[in-house]
Amino acid sequence: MIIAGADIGNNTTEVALANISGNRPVFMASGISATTGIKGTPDNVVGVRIALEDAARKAGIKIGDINVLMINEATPVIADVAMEAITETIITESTMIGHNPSTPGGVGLGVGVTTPIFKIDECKPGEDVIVIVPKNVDFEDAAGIINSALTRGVHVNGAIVQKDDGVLIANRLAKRIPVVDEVSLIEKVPLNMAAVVEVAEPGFTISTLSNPYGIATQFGLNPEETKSIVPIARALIGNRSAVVIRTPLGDVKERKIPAGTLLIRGENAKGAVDVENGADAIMDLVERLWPLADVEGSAGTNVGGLLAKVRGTMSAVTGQDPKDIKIQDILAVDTLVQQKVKGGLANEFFSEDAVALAAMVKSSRLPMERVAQKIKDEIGVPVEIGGIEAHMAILGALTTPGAASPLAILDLGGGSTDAAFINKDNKISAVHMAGAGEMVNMLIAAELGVNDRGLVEDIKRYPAAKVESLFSIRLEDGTVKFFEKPIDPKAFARVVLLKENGLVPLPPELNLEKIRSVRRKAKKEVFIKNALRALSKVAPAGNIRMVDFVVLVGGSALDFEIPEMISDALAGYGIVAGRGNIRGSEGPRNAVATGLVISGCEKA
Amino acid sequence: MRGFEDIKPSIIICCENPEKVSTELKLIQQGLEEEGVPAEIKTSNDDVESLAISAARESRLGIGIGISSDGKCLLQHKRMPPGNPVMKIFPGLQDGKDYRLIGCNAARLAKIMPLKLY
Repeated sequence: MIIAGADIGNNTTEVALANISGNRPVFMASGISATTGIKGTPDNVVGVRIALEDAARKAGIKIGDINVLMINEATPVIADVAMEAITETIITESTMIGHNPSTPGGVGLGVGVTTPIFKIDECKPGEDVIVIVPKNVDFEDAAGIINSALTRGVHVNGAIVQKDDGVLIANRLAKRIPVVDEVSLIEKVPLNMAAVVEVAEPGFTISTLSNPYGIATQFGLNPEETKSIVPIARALIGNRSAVVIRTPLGDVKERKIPAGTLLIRGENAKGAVDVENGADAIMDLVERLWPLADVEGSAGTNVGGLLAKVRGTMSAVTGQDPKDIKIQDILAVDTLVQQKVKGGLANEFFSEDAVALAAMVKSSRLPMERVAQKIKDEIGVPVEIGGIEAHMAILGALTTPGAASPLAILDLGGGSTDAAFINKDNKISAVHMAGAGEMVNMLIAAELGVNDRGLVEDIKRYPAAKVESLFSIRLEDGTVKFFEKPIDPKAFARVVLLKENGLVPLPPELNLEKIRSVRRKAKKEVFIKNALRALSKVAPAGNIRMVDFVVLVGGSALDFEIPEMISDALAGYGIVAGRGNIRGSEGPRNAVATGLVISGCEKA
Repeated sequence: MRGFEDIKPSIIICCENPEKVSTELKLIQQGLEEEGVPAEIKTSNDDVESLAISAARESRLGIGIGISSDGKCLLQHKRMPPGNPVMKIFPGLQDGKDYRLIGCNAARLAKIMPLKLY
């Protein structure tokens, strides 16, 4: 008798195929496909068929040979993520150019009145001037005009240039002045205003314009005005060059956005927390009120919108009224978002504080009968709905060599992190936590300012390296790898990802240390936090130390560093934790499908 | 004959006749100047591939630019195979910006900075 188990997950559908002889399953093959549609809907049938065909082909049988297909009673968990910026920087009237051209010209600090290069003839000797050079002026002409103004006695103290000509102009001037170049929106620079241009020596960063008192000294600001320029100074820290222009109404404001309030209802008590207070405040309240009955966001805010969206998706799947859908867990993580400054002149970005939220919803039951009926009709295989997902995952995880009950599994998925624990009496407890792979993606995307979703997934999944020469790369750990064939010059000196089919260059503004630290921080914030949260809820007496073995399963357990991070964090509690190896051959995949076959076999 | 230690590290630009390609040379030098990397101009009679390769071999930075009298221009690194230049400009298909870009990219190759797109 040939039995198949199919596990329809949030992202992948996995199949295990076994031949039962003498009440023991002999596994023949595994199959995998992307899940089609939302888990628990009849759309899943296509994915099930592809995964079944994949397994059947590997086993050398036809789908028709399968005697029974077991599908799980899928845990109806849907998770969603959202990001809420809690600060916003607005420049009213452009007053600041804080970008970092790779080659600014000259060096030093220059103070003067912003004047277009065409009007420099009108300046009187002795006037302090910052000259503005648009892109239609050749660098040689610009240098000539500035030099003749200098000989007339006009004090040209600095220049703002649109093209990448800073060094060329500076090298041709009679006087050494700071030149900031590559200012793309130069036409927006306010004219006839007091301005300061600063360029630091190579290898140094500016020191006057990044210091509030430095700016105050240059412009003669009073204490009240000095307070208001703090965001400017803060934004310029770490730059090699900068311009600050003083306009009568100009202002850079950092304001707190009312991000909304979360009303958290526990089963015994309730509480409210403002999203502005940050992730720690939110998570403290969640832990205090656990188990949660529902979470609401204040209406008209982004938090309210996020929670409403999760409810909407869930009610569409289950056919329940959105009001009856209860949010059972949230995970909040503090992060920084790269946001374009409103009113900037050179496409400056600011890091704004933000809170990322994942929410998880569990309904009473997904309509798996509908899926089962559809599979029966369309694929023509008898279908049985087998046990609960967590139980099946444990049965599957126990096939990992070296694992034994009592045992806990951590299922690191895309949408949620699930844990289940089986004690000596074979009693199973399970829990689902909001936040998993997709939340990691969102954090990486926000902190690095990358919008391409495919690229974000790659940044999460592959280690990075820096191309150091046309033939070698330096890996994250500092080792160097040489190639026989030259690397594509387009990847030269860039950060690349080590994908299976070669090196993928990343945008040049991303640096290796930042990518590595953002990637690892995102993974830790989500998976370590959730691993500890989940295990403490399934462990006997709520004590993580009572768990001896933890097997990591699920798609995110395939990650090159997440399992090590969790093993490391759990080692402190005396727990043996590691990536599962289902049936000694499947790695962390196929746990539920394998469990379904085993339980089907026991019944048969 | 100068000893190896006496040769300044610089990017070598090899051309057949500096007068015939003076505009192009000027643009290339501007690109190098903006990035702040020194360069030397040499002359020899050869096809553009060989000019670029000998320039790269002669340069202590291992980076050379070859330019023929018709304006064809190659950026070559001494460890790159001869038929595989880092960047190439065909005459007639370019405007002045490309010559400046090749100078810029030669300098960035020396500074180990990402090349400007072309």
